[in-house]
Amino acid sequence: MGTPRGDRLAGEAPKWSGMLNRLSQVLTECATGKVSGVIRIAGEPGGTVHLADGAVVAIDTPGAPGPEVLLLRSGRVPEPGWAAAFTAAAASGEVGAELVRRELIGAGELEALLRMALADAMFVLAAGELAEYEVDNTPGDCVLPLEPAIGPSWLLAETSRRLAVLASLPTPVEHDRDRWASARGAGPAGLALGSGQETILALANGRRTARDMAFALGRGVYAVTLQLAQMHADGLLVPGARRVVPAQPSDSGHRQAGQDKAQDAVKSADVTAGEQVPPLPRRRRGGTAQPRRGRPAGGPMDRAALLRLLRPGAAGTDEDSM
Amino acid sequence: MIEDALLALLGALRDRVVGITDTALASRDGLIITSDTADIDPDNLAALAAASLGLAQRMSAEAGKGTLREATTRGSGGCVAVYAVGTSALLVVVGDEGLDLGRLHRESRPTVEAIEVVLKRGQSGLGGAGMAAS
Amino acid sequence: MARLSESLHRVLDVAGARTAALVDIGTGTVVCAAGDGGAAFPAAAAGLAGEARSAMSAFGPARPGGDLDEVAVVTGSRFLLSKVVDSRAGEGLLLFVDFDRAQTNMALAAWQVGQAASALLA
Repeated sequence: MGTPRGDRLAGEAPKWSGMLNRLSQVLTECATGKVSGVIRIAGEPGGTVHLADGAVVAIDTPGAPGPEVLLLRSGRVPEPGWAAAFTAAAASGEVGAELVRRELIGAGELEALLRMALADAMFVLAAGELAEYEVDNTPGDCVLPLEPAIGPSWLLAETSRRLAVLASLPTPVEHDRDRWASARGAGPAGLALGSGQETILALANGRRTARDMAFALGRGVYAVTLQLAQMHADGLLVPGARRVVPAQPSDSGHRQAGQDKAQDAVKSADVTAGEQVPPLPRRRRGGTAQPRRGRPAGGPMDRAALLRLLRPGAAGTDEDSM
Repeated sequence: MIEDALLALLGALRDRVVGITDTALASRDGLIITSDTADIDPDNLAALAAASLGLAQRMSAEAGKGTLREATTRGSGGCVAVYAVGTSALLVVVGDEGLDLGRLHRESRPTVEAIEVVLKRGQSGLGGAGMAAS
Repeated sequence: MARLSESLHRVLDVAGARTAALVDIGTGTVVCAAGDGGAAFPAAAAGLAGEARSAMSAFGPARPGGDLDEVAVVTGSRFLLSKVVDSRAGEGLLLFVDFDRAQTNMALAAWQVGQAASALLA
């Protein structure tokens, strides 16, 4: 949309380092305590960090492709081969060893891929927002754990490096907010051949962020982000509609979050002045949904009044549950 | 316009939950009301979603599992979730492999409620013109 | 199953090798390293990855001489060798080795690194 990003990033750098510090703290505590289990992070994108004796074996997050997507979507391992290895390893749970045994991928190459997947996942966690986290000493399920597991220092140092690189780009790209479309006239003539730019252009339909393209291509989010920044600077891509995400509630259970989301949903519906919109029903614990008021008799309802209605506590009780 | 409000709600859901690639709102008999899709054919999606929701509801009832919450289809490349919107419509959400279904199911509820509100508005306030599929 | 770290440590057996690392070409990430690269090593690795990317795109898909094989940087006292071990469009992996030039026979070292590279991802 052409809005300058520089100011935003200058303000964001402290947020990123704040998030990185929080992650660093949690990971270090878990490393010291030799935790085997998971750290569940609620936020945007949020995710789950799998630990064995305090070292990281895997990270699941909606914000970055995991090893399975990286292997399959890139075409590195064909689907039938994966399916066969997955089935054969069902008893042992060692899909990685089975892939190597079947010569679908080399052990060194798989280890490199798993390390890169971890770095990518940590990067998106650190660049995102954290609402709350919990440490659970029950190990979670992990399809492709990294062996040997790694301590957090390499992950955190690499994440810090990546954030610094992105912050210093002349044309910054937010991997989970900026969407991209191909620039008018961007064609084969302008492409750096052999660099994978053509696959990016094919995906650039104005609806995809770097993260979305990474999932579609089976590549890392950070790697795609760098490429998008370069292609934007080269005039091959133009920004599409930015993704608008409400700020994470910092100390909220699902109950409050649900009400905030309903409020946001109505706000974002962009109801025009002439429309009358009755208030959303508020659920009462143990009962069915009861409308707060009947429909207004006539005249446009004041949108501000509607939103006041939806604010927690407006009814005099916030004993409501979604 | 009602359709603008609906599209805005669909767009806001796609913004809010990372991993959603396409959404559509359809009538229970499989006709598209409005959609926010890229390469997927909304008409085909609507028809299949209606069939799938109907089947899932019957299955849930047959298995004694109560009211259907959502019907989800998972593939190697992602998933499709269908939610009932009142008794007359349904919401289809298509996502990639990174879509967190648990989160989607939580986040879609306010959207479903808001859509219901807008649809009821459209049906009641306009002299019986009802919803026109376009 | 040979671990990356062990494989890289074996590369340090080559005369004059000070640092051996597996570097991701698309991002400049040091995936794994052996030896003492120093604090500036990650930045240097990222720079090398950038060089490899430029070289790859300069040749283009026509690739008259085949895919990019290696990039060598020679200074008065150092020999930096980056051997491509995995190559895809615009990305891949390289085995980077930093030699003390005074203790290294460059041609022999390059051959030995080539041997190590082909076994690294296996």
